[in-house]
Amino acid sequence: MPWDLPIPPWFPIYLSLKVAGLATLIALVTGLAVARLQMRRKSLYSKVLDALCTLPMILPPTVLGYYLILIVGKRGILGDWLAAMGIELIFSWEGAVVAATVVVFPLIYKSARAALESVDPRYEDAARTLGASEAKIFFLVTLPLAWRGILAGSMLAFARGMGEFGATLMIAGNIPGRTQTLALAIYDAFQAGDDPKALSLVLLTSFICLSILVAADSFLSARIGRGSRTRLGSGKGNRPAAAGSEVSS
Amino acid sequence: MISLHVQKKLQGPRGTFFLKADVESSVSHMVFFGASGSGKTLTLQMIAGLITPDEGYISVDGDVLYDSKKRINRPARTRHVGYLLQDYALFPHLSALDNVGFSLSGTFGRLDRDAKRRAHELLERFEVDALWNHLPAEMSGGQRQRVALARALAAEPRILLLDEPFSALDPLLRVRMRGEIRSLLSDWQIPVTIITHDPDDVEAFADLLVFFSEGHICRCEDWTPNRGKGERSREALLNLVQDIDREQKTA
Repeated sequence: MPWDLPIPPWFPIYLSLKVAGLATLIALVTGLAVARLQMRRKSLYSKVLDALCTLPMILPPTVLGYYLILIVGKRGILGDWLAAMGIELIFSWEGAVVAATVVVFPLIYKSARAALESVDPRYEDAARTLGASEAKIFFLVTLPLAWRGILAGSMLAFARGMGEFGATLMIAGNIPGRTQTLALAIYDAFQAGDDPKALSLVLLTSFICLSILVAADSFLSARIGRGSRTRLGSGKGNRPAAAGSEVSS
Repeated sequence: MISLHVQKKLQGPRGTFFLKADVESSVSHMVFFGASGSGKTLTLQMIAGLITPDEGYISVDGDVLYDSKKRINRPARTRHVGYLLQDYALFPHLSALDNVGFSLSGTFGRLDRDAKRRAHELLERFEVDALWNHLPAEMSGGQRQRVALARALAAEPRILLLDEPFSALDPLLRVRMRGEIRSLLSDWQIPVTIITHDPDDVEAFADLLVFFSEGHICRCEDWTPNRGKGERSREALLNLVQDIDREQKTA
């Protein structure tokens, strides 16, 4: 973006949507893969991995930002390699995507794992005796029966990504027109005493996040309504609300 | 020809359960009979490859599915053992056609024209072709059972295992389906093993009666003289149960 032009007022919104969207997409693919690997595992190794994957939800975003700088910063572990590849993460919007991905990953991983594990294992057993490979079972049986919970988790992750502040600030900085997302723009406007701008951005952010939460909730309750109709008669196995309660707690 | 010699120790909520099952069968209909919790389903799951025994040997028609000494344990998907679960476990998100076509489709579920025709043929054989685009939730218990049988047979199994196939049906339908399933299965010429604790199933199906009690097979009886003989079969079964009870009390 040329520096002599004024920054359009919608830029922070556009950037926030782009960063949150990309971060959600990356976290969805990786989170789903890890959730599938971890599914119904109870070993010590798997418990440690589970805790590691959940950690970004608990740690202050500044701690995550610091870790990320240690890893992808110019003098970080991967710094030389990233420079050789021509990838610049510090003070760039791509860096904001990396920060947001790490922050939203646990939300997707947790809800995806709960959703996958809530599928009655007898469907998977039936598929095995029908000669299906584990990949076929995942794509044709487990995933279609779990997708509502996974989608609801992804929407929460997107909403959380929209509001990401700490880790983004440490990696991507707060450069208007380049890395200034909604959350950062609000802080900036407040610091500069521009209350009308701060308030309008605050209301806008609230509205976007509220709509996402309402949409996520209606997906989950639709799952319960449908679920009771399609469940096996035995009454064991499926816990329809598990995905939602897991992430909202 | 089924040859089964397995042992398995399980840690359950009510302590340790020990299963030991040895049976050789070359009959077309074998019935596993016994109280619930006596190890019938567990044995079936070991044949299907869904549970691994601690040690033992399983073969079907001379083809070794499991041998702990030779470290053979074929995965369920290559065993060609058809297994009908107790509530049928039809995939709730797939239509009757896609359920039956499941074993014929690729990794992403595409059915080619031959597979589709084959699935329709099977649905026709089981007289549920009119329901081809219905979801399992939209079918009655008897229809679900036919679709589940068609699905199991679509995979061309060498043997078929039925876990309490009629217990999910209401009593009148049970009598009708028992007769229909028996005549349908006789078209297929594959050995069938049925789990039940219903004396009427024993009377209708058993060539060989395998009696389970507390994780052990305590009797293997040739039931052909009693099969289809109504009262005679029920009486013989009652005598057998009393016999076993007496033995267990004295032991």
